[in-house]
Formats: sequence, structure tokens, C-alpha cells
Amino acid sequence: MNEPAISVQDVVREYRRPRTSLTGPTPVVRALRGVSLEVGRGERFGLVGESGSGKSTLLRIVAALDTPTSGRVQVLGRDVSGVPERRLGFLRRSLQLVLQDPRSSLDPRMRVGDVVAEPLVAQKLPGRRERVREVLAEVGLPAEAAERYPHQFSGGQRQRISIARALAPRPQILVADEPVSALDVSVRAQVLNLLTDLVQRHGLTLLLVSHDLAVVRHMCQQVAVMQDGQLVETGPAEQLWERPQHPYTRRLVESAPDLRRALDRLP
Amino acid sequence: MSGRGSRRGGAAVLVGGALVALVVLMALLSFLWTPHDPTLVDARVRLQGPSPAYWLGTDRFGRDLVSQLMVGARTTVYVGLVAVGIAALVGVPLGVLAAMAPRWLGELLMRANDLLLAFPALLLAVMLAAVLGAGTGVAMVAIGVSTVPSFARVVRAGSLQVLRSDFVLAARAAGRRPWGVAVRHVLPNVAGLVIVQASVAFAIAVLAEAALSFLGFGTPPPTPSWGRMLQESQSLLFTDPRLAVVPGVAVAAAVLGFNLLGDGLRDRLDPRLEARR
Ligand SMILES: Nc1ncnc2c1ncn2[C@@H]1O[C@H](COP(=O)(O)OP(=O)(O)O)[C@@H](O)[C@H]1O
Ligand SMILES: [Mg+2]
Repeated sequence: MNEPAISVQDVVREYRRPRTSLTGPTPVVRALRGVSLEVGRGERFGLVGESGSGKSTLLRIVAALDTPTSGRVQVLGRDVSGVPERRLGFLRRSLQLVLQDPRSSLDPRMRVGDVVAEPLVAQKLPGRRERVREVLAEVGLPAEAAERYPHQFSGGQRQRISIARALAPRPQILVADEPVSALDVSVRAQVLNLLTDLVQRHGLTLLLVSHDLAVVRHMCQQVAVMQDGQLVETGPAEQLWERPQHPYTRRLVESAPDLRRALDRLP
Repeated sequence: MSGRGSRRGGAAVLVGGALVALVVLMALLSFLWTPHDPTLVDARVRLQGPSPAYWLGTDRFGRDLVSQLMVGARTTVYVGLVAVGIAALVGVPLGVLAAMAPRWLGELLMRANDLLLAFPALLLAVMLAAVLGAGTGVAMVAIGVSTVPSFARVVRAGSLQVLRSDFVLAARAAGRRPWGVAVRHVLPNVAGLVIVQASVAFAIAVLAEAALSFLGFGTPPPTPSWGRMLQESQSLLFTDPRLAVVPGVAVAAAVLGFNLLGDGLRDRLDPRLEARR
């Protein structure tokens, strides 16, 4: 019972690009170059790094939606990489995903009620209608929302729908890939607060990706910093924020928008 | 954005829809009523010009052109429906399968598909007719079979795009298996493409049926068909061009109607597909 919620060991992921000439080798993109991390049960873990550093790739692999070139991933003590889908039932029940852009992560042809019920339907869980109403209420949407289509909602509301879908099967682990970076600045704080509330209320393990260190510091206990497919620094959020070791982390901290820091810099 | 989307292709859909509706109404009405018996030969009224009794006149056997046109529309719609039905029923699953199968299998299916695509519909129909004998059924099957590849191609391309989308990733994370993804996500999202393809295929089928009947491989006499009306007008083309113009305009209007409808619908649907990537 003491094994971590998520354990990533030495994961490498290479993408093959189509070859550019007949004789040349197929170019290889190394999106992950040996990443290891552990997320404890009930822990809120943040992953920061600039665009293209491999954050989304890592999340897809953790959610067993992609297979690593090498390395091992375990969720709740069980292997998930290279395991056939029919034996991943436990993962689908216990780990859910919130993706970056709710304009593309909700099927435009599906009613919101069906979107939110999707994990319940796919996993044959009972009490769909009740549960859909429950989670919609939890994310602050009225029950009538179920009858409408995603495009009838604003960006912030759509991300709430996406969060409701993730909560529906009562997961233990929530994985969120830059959940507010596609949203209007004005609604980001609301959605982040909602996420924080829900994670705390349900005692969820959170793996949160962001390119904003200030956000991660706010929401997470542990933080890992990623650059070019590698983790350059890992540690408690406050420590990383106050005493960044790696030059890249230092740059992130300096560029992070923070009122107090800005005031500190004033003469 | 949706406001602009619904405007685009509006005129084409309207005009195309009206032409298509006209053909379908003509066909439906012919079951209840035609001005005359379209197959009634009457030597006393051969080759008459338009008159109150015969709105578009008669052919060289004294048969009423309007009545033939109406019953001929039946053949056109019937052949089109069955041919497009066959094409969609085979082509859509094939396209989805080719998109979801392992890469090598998908490529293999598409290469075979391209081979079929390169094979002319009319040639296939003529070959089938040579083996099985001419008839409406043979024409429908031939046109249908030769239209399968175009459906498969379009549906595969659309499906690949849907499969790359975030909502499919989310569905898989929710526990959907490939079958569920295909039925709940891929099919509903390529339905628009299929409708567009169907109207374009319908236009091709109308033309192909007319051509086959014209060549004598399609609908046999005495069932009226636009293609046969054209064929029979041949010998009198210079003395009485009306006999060619009437069915010619009908074929052209139907083909134009289905093409306009297809293009208009494509314009309407495409921006949404684009925006989704
Ligand atoms: N399906 C793919 N095929 C090829 N290259 C990919 C694919 N997905 C990601 N990459 C590459 O892997 C690297 C990491 O991408 P990603 O994980 O999306 O980064 P992040 O989420 O941190 O922005 C990038 O260089 C990207 O171009
Ligand atoms: Mg990303």
C-alpha cells in the first residue's frame, strides 16, 4: 500500500520523422531522454518546462495512451507501459486526464451529458444520470448543461466540462496538461481554484503540467523542472522557488510573474 | 464564427437543393399521376411540338415527353439511391477501418483502393453488363461498386484527422476501446463528409446511368429513362433537337443540382473540421 501513485523510471521516447532523402537515415526526435520521477499518493506534483520540452509526451505515457521507447511506468504499483488495453481497466478507473485546450478535447458532436458520462459508459459504471448531474454541479454547471453541445459554452465553462468528465468515474489520480493556458486570462484563476478545491475535497493525487512556475508553486508540493526531454531539477515547491539550483530553474523563477518579487526588485 | 459558417455555401445549397427536390418530387408524383401513359404508342400524335395536351410534345412513337421525363426521374433517383447506398455501405466502413488499422494494413488497403479508383465506372458497367446482361440492376451495382473507392478515400482522410484529435485521446483515457471510438466519435464526425460525398456521387451516378442507358447497357425498354430518351433522340437530332434537349436538360439539371448541393454542404462543413484540429 506504500507504493507511489505514479512511478516513472528512466523513460525514453523517440519519435521517428519521415526520412527526408531516400538514402539518409530516418531522423529521430528524442522527446524524452531518460526521465524518472515519483508521485506519492495524495501528493500534488507539478511539472514545469517550456513548450516542446516533452511534458505532454510524458503525460500521454503515464496515461498509457502512448508507449515509451524504453523505460518503465507504474501506476498504483502496476505496470502500464506495453500492457494491452484490456488489462488497463484499473488505470482507466483510477487515473483521469484534463487536456490543455477544451475546444479540441470535447467532441463537437456530443452532448455535454454524453461527454461527461463517457468514462462511465466506457467502463460500464452504474448510475450515470445521477453521477453526471453530481459532477456538473461540482464544477459549477447547471444540470441543463447536459442537454447542450460544447460549442454553446465559453472556454472556461468548457474546461469545467472537461474536469467534470475526469471526475465522473471517481478517480484517485488526476493528470492535467496545462489546464488553463488555452483560456482567457480572466478565467484562469477561477478554473485553477476549482481544480485546487476538487483535488483537496476528494484527496486526489495531482500531476499538473504548466509552463508557469508561479501557478505550480501555488498548487503543488513537489515540482520537477523539465528541459529538452530531461528533468533538470526536482524538489519541494518552496525550496525550488526560493533556492533554485539549476540555471534553467533560476531563469524560470525570475521570469515568473510574482507581485512580491516585482516589489522586491524596486529600489 | 458559426454565423459566417452557415452563410457560406448558402446559395449553392439552396439552388442545388431546389433542383434535387424537383427531380425527387417529379419521381414521386409519377407514382400517382402523369399527364399520359409514358409508354403509350400513338401514331396519330407522332413528333408533335409543345401543346396544351402535350406540354413538351411527343416523340417519334407519339409518347408524351413530360410523362417519360417524370417516370425517367424515378429510374434516375432509384439508380442513384441504390448505387450511392452500396458505395456508402462498403466505402465508409472500409475508410474507417483503413484509418484505424495498423499503418501497414491501412496503406495496403488504400493502395488496393487507388487501383479500383483508377478503373473507370463505365468500363466496369459495360463489362458487367456483357457478363450478366444489360439492366437497371447491373447498372446500379456497377456504378455503386466503382464509387466505393472515392468514399473510402474521403472517409479515411477524415477519420485520420478525427483520430488525431484531443477528444479521441480523452475518449481513450476514459476507457473507450477502438470500436467505441469508431462508433461514438469517428462516424459522427465524418458524417458531414459522407453526406457531401454522397451528393457528389449521386451526380456521377445520374450521369453514369444516363450514359449506360444511352449506350444500351442500362435500363431496357419500355421502362423510361433519361439516358434512353437521349439515345432515341439521336436519329432525329437535326430534324427535332427538342427530343435531345428535354432529357439533356433534365440530366444536366440533376447533375448540377447534386453537385451544387455537395459543394455547398462542403463549404458549410469544412470550416468546422478545420477549426477542430
Ligand atoms: N506525435 C509526434 N510525432 C513526432 N514528434 C512529436 C510528436 N509529439 C511530440 N513530438 C515532439 O516531441 C517534443 C516534445 O513535445 P511535447 O511533449 O508536446 O512537449 P510539451 O508538451 O512540453 O510542449 C517536441 O519536439 C515535439 O515536436
Ligand atoms: Mg504540451
